[in-house]
Formats: sequence, C-alpha cells, structure tokens
Amino acid sequence: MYDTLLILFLLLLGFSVIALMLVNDLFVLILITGLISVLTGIIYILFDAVDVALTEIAVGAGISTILFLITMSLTKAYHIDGYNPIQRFSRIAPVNLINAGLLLVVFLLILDALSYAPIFGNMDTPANSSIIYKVYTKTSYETFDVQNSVTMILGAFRGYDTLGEAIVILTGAIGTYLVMQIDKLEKSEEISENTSSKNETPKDYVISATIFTLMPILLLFAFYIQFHGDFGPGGGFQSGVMIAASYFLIILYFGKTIANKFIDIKYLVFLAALGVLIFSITGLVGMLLGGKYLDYSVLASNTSSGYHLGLFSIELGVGTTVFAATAIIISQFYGKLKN
Amino acid sequence: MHYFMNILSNYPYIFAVAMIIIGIYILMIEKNLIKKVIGMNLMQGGIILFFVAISKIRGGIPPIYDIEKNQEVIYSNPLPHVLMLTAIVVGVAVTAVACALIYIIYKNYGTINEAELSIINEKEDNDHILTD
Repeated sequence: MYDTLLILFLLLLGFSVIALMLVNDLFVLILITGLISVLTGIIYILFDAVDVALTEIAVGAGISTILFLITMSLTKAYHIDGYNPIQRFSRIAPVNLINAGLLLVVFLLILDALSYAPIFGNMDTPANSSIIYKVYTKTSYETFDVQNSVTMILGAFRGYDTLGEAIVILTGAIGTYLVMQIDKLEKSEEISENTSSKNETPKDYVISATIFTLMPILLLFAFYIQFHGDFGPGGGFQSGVMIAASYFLIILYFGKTIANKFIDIKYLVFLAALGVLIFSITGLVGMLLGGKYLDYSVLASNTSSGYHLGLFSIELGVGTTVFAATAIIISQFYGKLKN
Repeated sequence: MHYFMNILSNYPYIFAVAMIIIGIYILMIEKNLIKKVIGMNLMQGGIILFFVAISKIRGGIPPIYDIEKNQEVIYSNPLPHVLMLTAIVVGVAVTAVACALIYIIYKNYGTINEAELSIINEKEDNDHILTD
C-alpha cells in the first residue's frame, strides 16, 4: 500500500518534470513548477518529513511561483521560443547532443552506484544506523521534553546553522533590494510622477473572494505553527513565509500605496534585522547567565522550560526575519510591476 | 538479477537523480534565463528529495513524540529534515536574487534570451575596439 502510493506520486512527479522540459508557454511552465512543489511536498509527507513538506509547499508553490510570474510579466517573455517540442528536438545543435549524451552516461553511472547503495527504507543504512540521530531524538523527547525533535535540532543541537541561515536570508533580501534600486537611481523623477497620478488596482472578484476567505485562515494557521513549533510540525520558516504570502494578498487587493501606509519598506528592513538580533541576543543571554552561546537550559529554573523558552525566542527571531525578507522581496518585485 | 532488484528497490533515489539530471540538462540546453532558474530549482528539488528519502525508515513515524505508543515505535531520522529545511529557504533567497538580476538584464539589454545577449555582447565589444 505504502509503495503503491509512493510510486503513484513519484510517477506524477516524473510526468510533471517531463512536461517541464517540453512546454513552450512560460506561464504554463511556471504553473508546472508550482505543481512539482506540491507533489514533492506530498512525497515528503510519505517520507515522514512533515516540516520539510510544509516548507516546500509554502515556499515552492507560494513564493517561488509569485516571483517567477512577476519576473515573466516584467520581462515580457511569455514564450521560451517559437517552436513546438518536436521542432525543438529536431533543431538541437550537435554540441547539445553531446551534452545530453554525457548527462545520460552520468545518470547510468549513478544507477549502477544505486545497485550497491544502501536499500531505501532500511534501518541499517549508514545514515539511519548511526547513533547520533537516536541520541538527538532520545534527548529531545526525554531530557528536554521537546516533542518535535526537528525544532530541537534546528534551534539547539545545530543552532549555529540556523543563525547563519537567518543571516543568509537577510543578505538575500538586501541583495534583491539593492539590485532592484539600480534602475531607480537612473530615472527617479519619472517614477515619482507615475506613482502620484496612478490609480489603484481594480478590485477583482476572484482576488476579493480569496483574500476575505483565505487570509484569516492563513494567518491563524501561520501563527499557530509559529508558536506551536516545539510541539508539532512547523516553526519560524513556514509561518514567516505564510505571513508574507498574506502580506502579498494585501498588496494585491489594496494596491501598493495603501499597503505601504500599512507597513512601510523601511519598517520591513528594520524587522528583518530585528529577527537576526533576537536570535543572537537569545544566545548571548544564555552566555550572560553562565551557560554557553545558544545554551537555553539556564534561561529558566529547570532545563526543560529553559529550552522551551529559548526555542520559542529563536523561532520568533527566524519567523520575523523570514517574513520581513520575503515581504521585502515580493514588494520590490511588485513595485516594478506597477511602474 | 540481484543487481536489478537492488536498483529497483531504491526507486525513490532513481527519481531524485533523474530530477537532478534533468535540472542540469535544462540549465545547459535552454537559452531563456527564467527557464534556466527553473532548471536550477528543479536540480535543488532533486537533491532535497534524495536527502529526505535517505531519512525514511519503513514502519517508522514522523519524528514527533507520540505519548500513546512510547517505547516500541521507530522514528524516522530527523537530521536530514533539518538540513533540507534550511536548504529550501536559502533556495528561495537565491531564486529572488536571480530573478532580480534577470530583471536588470532585461532593463539594460531588452532581452533575456542568452543567444541574443551574447550577440549584443559581441557587438558591444567590437564597437569598443573600433572606438579605441
């Protein structure tokens, strides 16, 4: 039963990937990438990776699709080229055929390697027989009383990874912001004229139905997984992306100028930096109270509640950074679309 | 026979590897820059699928503590989940910067087709030599 279900979804994924290679219309192509994200999310649930599934669906089907669609309409590239799949294959250059042949050889070599690789799903593979993951789950459940061991590893055992990653997201948002400012510097007068005379977006029925039914549920779910991250699946990443998606719905419905009054870009930049600050200060407080950096056991009277407090705090920091960074990215792209 | 049975019992890895290979293929063959970024995302998705597939244990449950069946139960390996969680979120930051760069390329050159871009680039180089 399990294998049947898994093979079914893997085959659907395979068909989507093949369709991705053949389709000429870029809009359809981007929708297929969203579909691939949803399908991989379902496969992650079958692989028992519930946190990864939540993140993949929120990020891949939500944010990436929006980014690609906005880039598509900004660059007016609605078609890959003017050919249908058969014509495209017939005009492949010889050098491309060599490339494809080389890739096929690499694929066959990896298939050969899979013949003596550890069998999928076994307990005695090197990854699953190692002592470290049993220590992680056991101490997480018994010593620290944190029910979701993914959050425990994310925040405590591998806390430095997550801190570095929050900084990477902040850097990504700053990079996008700076790159998007390049053409603004050249013709800043034009844009200021345009924004004053521009009308707001027409209020579409589909968008209003979506925003008023979907957004409260989305926000409720986002805050639930934000504050429930150490008990169940979810955490800062997923909720940050979901809150950013509802911010995008606000922009979409009310237009950019009202959304800017609601929450300005400079507050978003401040929030993105604040999240990283919350994370690093949580580590420093542990040091001041006599522990090590990112050691939460000293934050409260006993170890378990100290860890719950520390994990809550760093999830809040990560959630703030991810929300603000994603909102900066989306509002930058959407701002270009209006001008 | 044993050889093929081993490969077939690793079927999730085959799909993951195929996704990586097709992602590299799209990166190499396609001329449209947006499709190149999509190919890069596909490659990343294949790698994530591979890592998550490693963590699965047959008969295991998600690594969230279950009070009702406490001792006997096997949890799937949570460590690859954590690593891939960070990889997905870093991936969207990479996608955003790539899309921003594509937009700037379009603003400056009027096209995002790589073949046309290289023609423009050659022309600019030639003009530069002539003016010197």
